[in-house]
Amino acid sequence: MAKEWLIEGDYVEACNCDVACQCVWLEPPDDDVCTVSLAWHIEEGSYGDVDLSGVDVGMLISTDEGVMFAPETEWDVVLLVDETADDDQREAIEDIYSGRAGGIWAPVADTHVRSADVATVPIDFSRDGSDFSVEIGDAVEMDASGAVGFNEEVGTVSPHPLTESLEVQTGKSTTATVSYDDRFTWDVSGNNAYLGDFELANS
Amino acid sequence: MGGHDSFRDRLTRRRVPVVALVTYVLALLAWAAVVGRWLPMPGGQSELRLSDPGAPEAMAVSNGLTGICLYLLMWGTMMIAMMYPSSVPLFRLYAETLEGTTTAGKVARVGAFVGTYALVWTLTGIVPLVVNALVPIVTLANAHGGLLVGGSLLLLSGYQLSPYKYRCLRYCRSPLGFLMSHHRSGVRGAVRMSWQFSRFCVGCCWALFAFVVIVGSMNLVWMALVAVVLSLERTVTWGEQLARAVGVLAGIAGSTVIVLALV
Repeated sequence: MAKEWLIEGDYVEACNCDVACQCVWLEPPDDDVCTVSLAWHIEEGSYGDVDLSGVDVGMLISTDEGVMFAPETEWDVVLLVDETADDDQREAIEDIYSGRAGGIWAPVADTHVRSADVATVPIDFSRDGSDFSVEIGDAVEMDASGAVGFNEEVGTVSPHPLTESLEVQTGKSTTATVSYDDRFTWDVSGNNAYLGDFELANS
Repeated sequence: MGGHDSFRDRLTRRRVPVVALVTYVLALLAWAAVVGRWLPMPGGQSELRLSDPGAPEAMAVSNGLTGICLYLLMWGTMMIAMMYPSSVPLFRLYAETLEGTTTAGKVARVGAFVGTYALVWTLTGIVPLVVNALVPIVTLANAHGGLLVGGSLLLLSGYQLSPYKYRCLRYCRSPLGFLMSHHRSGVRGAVRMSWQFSRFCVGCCWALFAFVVIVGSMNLVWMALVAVVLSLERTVTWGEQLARAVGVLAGIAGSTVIVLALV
């Protein structure tokens, strides 16, 4: 099962940490847990010979207490796949994000994922520069904008694992609510958001 | 909401841990080579035993380029023996990111990653050689053995208790954290990641190895002890406490040895 894949496009996440989330520096998150919603709009992508361009993906992560990336910290995960994706595309997205197809999700699944749920939902993803707006069925509402600093420049953070350059923009959510089930219900509006372009691949 | 079960099945796949096995076998062979003296050393100094403080360094320096190369070969083998076992979690996780790549592609990338790691550690062997060229460790050990061992213990103690040690250890202790924040694709990416990881590793362990050189680079008892300590520091939940405990112990032992040497 050798399938190379590469996906790139727009990315936004909104979590419970204050601006800016410190998990990328391997520090414990605010409240010692991470509750985050993440969303990808795949501008261009392929998995073997399956074209993934235009597919939207969402993910919810809720962690145990402790440093998010410490080996003993377990995560519960929900993968949300665009309902407009066809069967091959849905299969490909599940393979990639479940870690079965290599890339950064493979060690994540191996090290952290305690439970994983997957659902097919309507996803509405829009981006205007560093303003992002994502609606995922009734489960997720996420509006976030880049955090502007001196010289009217949007701040950046590095290293972040989801881009080739390892750099994302710092941002803040205006709305970041999740209501999927008991485990995945929160309102972390007004907190950290990271956003920008993403690029992920195996190999 | 279909597909729930198949998703779980995919997460809990079982497979032969090839990368881990190969790494352990390499480490085992390296230990065998060190213990069994399989590696050639420049001879001609039969009054020196390899396990004596400064002996391998003195033999290397007095035999010119050949001696230096053979010393680095020995040092590299020793590093593979001591560092590879506790690096298996990272090697294994890195290999998982390559799922979907061809077998040849995987071998090339994992080989580049694991090889660069060994190479960087091998090159650190230049440090004891340079030190020995400036101040022969054998002479110093004969004249001021207590002060030398006590001083290196205090150096070890100071470093184990410093924030630098903690910063490096954090990356070594969280292989996924490292991978998430430094992941790069391709063979060049593998070399680059490995180089960055090696730097954290050297930052984490150099003081332990400085101590090993002082008590004897080929002293098997100390080699084994230090290998156990650094492996535990990197893998068990109480690793950070252990690092601090080693720091405190080294401080007490170092002070005692120095006082005894001066009295």
